[in-house]
Amino acid sequence: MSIAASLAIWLILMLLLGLEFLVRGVVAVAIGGAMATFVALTYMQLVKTGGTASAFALAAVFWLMVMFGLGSMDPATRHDVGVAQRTQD
Amino acid sequence: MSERRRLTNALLSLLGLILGFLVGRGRIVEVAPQPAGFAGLPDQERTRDAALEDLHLGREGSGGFVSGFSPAFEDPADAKHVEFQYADKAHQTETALTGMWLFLATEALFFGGLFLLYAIYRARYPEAIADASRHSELAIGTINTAVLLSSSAIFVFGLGRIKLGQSRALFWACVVTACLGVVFLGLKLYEWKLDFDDHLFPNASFAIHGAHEGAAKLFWTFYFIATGLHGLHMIGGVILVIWIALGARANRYDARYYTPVEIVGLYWSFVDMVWLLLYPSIYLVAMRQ
Repeated sequence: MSIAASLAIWLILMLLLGLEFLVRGVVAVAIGGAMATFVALTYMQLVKTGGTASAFALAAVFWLMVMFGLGSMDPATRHDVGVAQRTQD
Repeated sequence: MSERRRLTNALLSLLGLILGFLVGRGRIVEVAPQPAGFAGLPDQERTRDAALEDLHLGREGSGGFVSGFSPAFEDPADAKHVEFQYADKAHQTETALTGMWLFLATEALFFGGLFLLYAIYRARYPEAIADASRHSELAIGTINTAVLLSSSAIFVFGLGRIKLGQSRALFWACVVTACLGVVFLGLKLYEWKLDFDDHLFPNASFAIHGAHEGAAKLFWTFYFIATGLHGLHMIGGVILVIWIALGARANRYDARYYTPVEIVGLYWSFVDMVWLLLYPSIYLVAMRQ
């Protein structure tokens, strides 16, 4: 990677960090995720790697989705149902 | 069973072992022919290591236990970097990169469990988690993020330099990267000290009381476990970067061989990625007031 390319990537990441700092909340987490993906695509050259290595990276994403899907199913679908008060006749 | 029969069985077993050993040894000698032009040890004393050394150095005609593997190097200088079990340099590099990605996949799942737990608690107790997050040291967290992003950029710059054969540039890139890693760890330790001083460690003297106390304890438990695990990974990363720096100083890497630099770069960037997700999860939960 050339000096110009690595400097450009660093600048983009710093700008995203500034944006993240300003917006905060859930959007900041989304920007953080975008930054992590950007690092994987640029510094780690995920697309260029190809072959089995890419398959492992995709497998990690797949199993993370399975884990998050199954793990959040109960908290996402559970409803707290109030128990009716027993009244005295 | 009679005493005599037991003795006969034992003798037959012993005989079988001796015969098996001799036959096996004979086969090994059979499949280890003397290579053309080999002026080393005679056949009887030819060892496995000698055969592998021939193979490692890419000498033609080397056969033996692993015949079938005959590395063909386009550039003879590549031979010294390629271990005997690989067909060529590309095979070795691909295997190393694939192995590292597999390791990183397991690491992603390892940290994934932690983030899943965090996401569930944040969805269940949004206000309490936001309140707890307000006690975190935002300035230190932000500086640390910038430090880590810069360190990754510098290491990648070093990787680019070694691809051009500039070993000295790689050395200095690694030195700066390791220094930034140490700065990150130093700031993190200082931040932990401040957190402990503010009684934010979830124990009996926990500082946050009231309706949000339970959820705040969950948040700070996540904080100490996640940043602690990330810190351990950082320590490992700094050690690896120093190892690469020492290798660069000893001219172990050049434009033809830099696989270890790529591997360590992948690890360092992954640790960076984890922090990029931790930063907004810890410091940027609460909206600006």
